[in-house]
Amino acid sequence: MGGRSSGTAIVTEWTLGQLLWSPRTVAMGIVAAVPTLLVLVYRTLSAAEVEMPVTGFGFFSLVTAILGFQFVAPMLALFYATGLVADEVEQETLTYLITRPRTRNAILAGKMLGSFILQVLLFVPAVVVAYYLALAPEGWSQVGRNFPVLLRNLAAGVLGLAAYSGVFAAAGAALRRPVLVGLGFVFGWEAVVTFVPGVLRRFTVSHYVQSLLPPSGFQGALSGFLSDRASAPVAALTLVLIAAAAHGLALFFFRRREYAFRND
Amino acid sequence: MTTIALSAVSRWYGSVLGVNNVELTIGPGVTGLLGPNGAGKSTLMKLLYGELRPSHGEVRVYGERPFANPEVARRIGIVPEGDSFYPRVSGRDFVRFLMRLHGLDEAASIEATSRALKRVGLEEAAGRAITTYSKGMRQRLKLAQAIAHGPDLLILDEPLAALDPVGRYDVMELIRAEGARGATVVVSSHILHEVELMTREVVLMSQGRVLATGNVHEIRGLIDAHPHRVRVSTSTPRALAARLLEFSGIKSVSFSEERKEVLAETSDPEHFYRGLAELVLDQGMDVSELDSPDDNLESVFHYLVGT
Repeated sequence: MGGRSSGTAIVTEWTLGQLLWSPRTVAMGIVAAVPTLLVLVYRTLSAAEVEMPVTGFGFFSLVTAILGFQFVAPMLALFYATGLVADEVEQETLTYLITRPRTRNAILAGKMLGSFILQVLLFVPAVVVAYYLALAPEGWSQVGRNFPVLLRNLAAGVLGLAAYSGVFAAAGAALRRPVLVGLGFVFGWEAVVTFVPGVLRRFTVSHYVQSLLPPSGFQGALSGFLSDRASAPVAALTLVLIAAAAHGLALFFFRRREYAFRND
Repeated sequence: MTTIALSAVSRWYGSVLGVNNVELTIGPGVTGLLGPNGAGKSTLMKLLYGELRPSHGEVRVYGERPFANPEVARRIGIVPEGDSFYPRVSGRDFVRFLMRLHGLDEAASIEATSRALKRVGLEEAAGRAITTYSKGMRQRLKLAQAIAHGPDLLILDEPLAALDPVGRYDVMELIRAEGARGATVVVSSHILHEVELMTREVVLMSQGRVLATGNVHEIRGLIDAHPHRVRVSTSTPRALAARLLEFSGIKSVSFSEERKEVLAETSDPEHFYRGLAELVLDQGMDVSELDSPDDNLESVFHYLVGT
């Protein structure tokens, strides 16, 4: 048996255990599987000799760029990260955590880490399965040749999840109805500003995620159309900075805020 | 020796005043925090265990401000007011998680959890999901996680709520034992009789203010002048009502077969509770829940504040 663990490690393990079989994870598992299911439909039609307008690789790129990065990743982050504090407040269990001899930073960091691990566990396998489903029937040479694209997609996804999670964790720590604000951010700010020419796009997470996608092929064309691409290193660094700053902000709010709302 | 010191403490919730200019010191032993619902007891307790900060004044626990203070939290065990737990978790896993969070290593957390669950009588149900527990069992579970690490200060918000008579007796014994071992125990209730069975030291609160502190017997006479109302949940209300009418000091008894409850009014609560416990223990009378509507206590507070 192990010895004394850090507060963050204990809360991470607990959070993973709590979230793993929760109704939320079932729902998010379905959301994460949507691109894979679409690839499966494509592959089924293709096997039935229906003429498809794009190759398997093209379809994979299309589905991940539009659904994976614009919808699935923000949704995963939104529904997990906003609930980190809000769920504990709503179910009145936060008292048990914050009255133990651990810093509030350690507690929220553990919750954020547990939630992030689960998001990655839902997102990455779905993209990998979609990739193999889309490309393998066209030959393993296709799979091998485009493997760097898969890695780039996965890196963009993981960094995007980290940045979105930070933003939504901060909203969850600071606001009483963070999901509504988060939905406004994803389907209002991010969705609208992405299509507005000019520098405003640079204030979206989506801009930097799209900039990490391969510059050639469908994803490059899409991200070039949607935004004046940032270079990959700048995009990656910016996402890391957004994630760090937003998570730091979440910790700041959580450290200072009172979460008891009842009068007696 | 002072464990808790509050100096001119007020706490507002927006425009609502939860605690009003409280001056209070509490030392080792059991102290009852007594007041009707809405008196500010829970707010005061949240200030003590650091869930809230005072709007004005200063709260010190072991000489330190308790808000988000791990050093103070290390010495505290709490029973919060809510009846909420994590879903899909057993009683044992819940307490063990909190013990690990408290800093106990794996082996020590298992040992402390088993000991505490046994002490509150939950060892057989420890492996079951909390969602299958009765209200009384959940109350015992809250107590188990509060005492498992052997805290110096216990802050217990209505720990007897929802317990059956035997459970109440057990928990009162446990609270007395914690006080006797030298811990500081602050226990809230809106029922004077309950507090009286645990301690003589009381803090009387009403409308956010501390009205009086001191020996419970000094206000006993005031309470006795007001009939004490008790609501008893039972599967046999008619039979229980008939037996209660034989008690001395009974002013009135009414019952409802539909709601499966008996409402009794007595001027001798001590005799009433003792007699009721005998009916349950010796004669097997079914009693699932006890509750005392706080109207009578409220009337005493109105008397004290002159309203």
